[in-house]
Parts: sequence; C-alpha cells; structure tokens
Amino acid sequence: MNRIAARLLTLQHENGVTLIEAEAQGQVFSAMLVGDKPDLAPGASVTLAFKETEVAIARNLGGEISLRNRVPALVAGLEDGSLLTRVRFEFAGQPIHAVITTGSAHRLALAPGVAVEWLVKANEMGIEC
Amino acid sequence: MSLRIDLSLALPGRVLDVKTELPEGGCLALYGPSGVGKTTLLRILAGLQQPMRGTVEFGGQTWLDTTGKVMLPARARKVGFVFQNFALFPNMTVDGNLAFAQPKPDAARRADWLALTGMTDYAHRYPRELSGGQMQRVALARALASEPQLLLLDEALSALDTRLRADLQDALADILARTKLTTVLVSHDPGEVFRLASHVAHLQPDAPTVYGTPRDVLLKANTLGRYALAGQVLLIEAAGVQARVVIAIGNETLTTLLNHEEADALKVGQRVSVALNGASAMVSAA
Repeated sequence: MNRIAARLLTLQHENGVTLIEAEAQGQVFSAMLVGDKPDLAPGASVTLAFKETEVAIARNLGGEISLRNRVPALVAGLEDGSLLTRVRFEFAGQPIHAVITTGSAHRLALAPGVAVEWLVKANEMGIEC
Repeated sequence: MSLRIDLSLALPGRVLDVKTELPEGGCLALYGPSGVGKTTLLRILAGLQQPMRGTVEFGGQTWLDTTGKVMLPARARKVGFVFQNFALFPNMTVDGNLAFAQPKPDAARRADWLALTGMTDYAHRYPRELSGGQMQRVALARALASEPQLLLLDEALSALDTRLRADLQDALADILARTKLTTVLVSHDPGEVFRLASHVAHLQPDAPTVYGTPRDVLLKANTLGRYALAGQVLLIEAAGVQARVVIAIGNETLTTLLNHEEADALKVGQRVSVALNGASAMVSAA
C-alpha cells in the first residue's frame, strides 16, 4: 500500500458520493469515496492510501486524460519478475511503488532515471484519517 | 412494549457490560463473534440465567433487578424463544407443536401463524418429514403461537445454507413488520443484522459494546469509502514481485496481491481487516 501524508483542501458530497481534494508537496490529489459524508473539514490532516497495483505509468503522455492524479517523477528503481514488475518512485522523501506487467515495463523502456508520470484514478484513492 | 437493559455479565476472564433501550416494535441485534456473550445475554432476558449485576425492564415491568432481588420467572415473562437447532417436539405434528405452545387451544389462531410462516400445507407432518428451512419456519410459528410480548431469536437462521437463510430473512422481516413484536436476535452475520434489526449492540471481546443503527455500526470503515470486512489469513505464498494472500471472509475466500513487506507482516491464521473499495465492487445477481 502506498501512503502519502496530505492536507484536505475541499470536500464535495452528493448522493452518497464524496469528492475530496488534498494537497501534498504542492501536488493536488483527488479521491472519490462512496458512502456517508466523511466527518472531515478543510485543513484536516489525512493520509492518501492506494494500492501499488492501482498505479499506472505513462511516458510522453500527450493530450487530455480523465485521470485526476498525475505526478511527474523519475524512475528510482525496478524489481523485475517474469510477469510483474515493481517500479519505485520517490515522493516527498517516501517511496511510491507501482506494480505493472513486465511487458509494459519493457514497452515503456523503464530504467532508473527515466522521466515518466505515475497516475491513479480518483476512485482508487482511499483516505485514512 | 419497550425493553431496557442494564447488565454486567461475568464471562471467562472479563466482564461484559451492556446498557441499551429498545422501543416497542424494535428489533435489537446482539452482534459479535462467537463466545462474546450474546447467547448468555439472551438467556438472561428469557429468565433462564442470572447476570452478575443489573436490571431488565420490559413494558414498564421489572423482570430483573439484582439489587432489589427481583427475578421474574421465565414462564411469567411471555417470551417466545427460537433456537438455532429448531428444538421441535419430534413426536408431535407441526400443528401439535404449535398447540402445545399456545396459552389456550385455538385452531384458528394456529392456522393464522402457519399461514404467516408459509407452513399451512405442512400442518399434519412430523418434524422428520420437513427440511431445515421448514423446521425453522415451524419453530418461528411455535414461538409466535405462544403469544409472546418479546421474541428472542438465538442464531435462528445460522444452521441454514446461504440461499435458504436469505429467503428466511425475507420471511422473517415480513413477519416482524406485520406482528410489530419487540424482538432481540443474536447473530454474527452482518447481512442478517442489516436486514432485520433496527438497533444493534456490537459486542466485542476486547472493547466496549458499541450501539447504533445497523448503518452506524456495520458501515463504519477504517478507511473512508472502503468497507472493512473481518477475515482470517489462509495462505501466504510468493508470487514474483508480489505475494499471493488468500483470506477467508465468512463462507467465501478472497485472493489478493500484497507486497512482500505487507505479506511478511502477516501469518497464517491471523485475523485481519480487509478494506474493499466501495466504488470498485462488482455486483451481480447470485
């Protein structure tokens, strides 16, 4: 599980769906939650939590994309498996991991130092508090 | 009639405190894992057992007060009790079982209860001629035939398979709505609690009892928007850069991938909390 300490910026709730924006290191993250309205107010400290398998990686991404969480990063390390590869980034001094297929890692020619973006859909982003 | 409970139970190695009120016609679920004291509490309400300390009031009448030494006998409490193992009289027909429970014989009333529980066509059969689901319907009809003021259900549906349990939950919800009987049920099944109860007392072995509606108690998530399910680790094995972890949740198993650091922190047999993303759950008719 990846975790990032963040500060809540906005919270919108309607019909059992909550859209949250939170900031960490100047980066704004979005999380879509299903359920009752969370008992949170802007300024609250929260932890963004998301699984490594929910992180996508893009290289030279052009045009528009619906994913709200896009973070430019350099590949810090790779751990190859036959089917899956675990890719490491650094964010705010903490490791962030993505697990993608080894085929995709080869297709993107990932290697330490390569500039990419890692992406997470808002509905895959959880909030711990 | 409303129910007020303020009890302390001496259980092995600990004391369980339960204090709550249930309005007339409400259904209180005593919810929690096995051995937490649910059935003991139900037996105290029925007058079959004494607590360490406390009071039970029903409809303004004191049934139990350990300080005032009040202990209304079980037969005076007008309680209908449905057990997990049905507890029907094997030598009596379905109708005979109901007649035995009635305060005074009333064939028309028995027919009403059999109709309400969907057992009209089985009135002259013996318990050995019935399925598990049919026997539990008879057990319920017999409890209703005793004309109770308070209905107690002790894991009444847990001996049945999943599909039959769901069918009987529907029937029971309908019966409780029609009879408006004040009811206390014991269950460790969150689906049953959500379907039937208006109030929940969540009994926990290592924490104070939590009270609320099913929505308050059962939908609390440890991660917002992700619903925590109680599970037990069955298997951990390496799967390349990840680890495959199999977890039992109720009668089902879930296989997931964790990183090695997370998997190394677990051991087989350990109880865990599994957070599922509410937005990503894929649901279809069973």
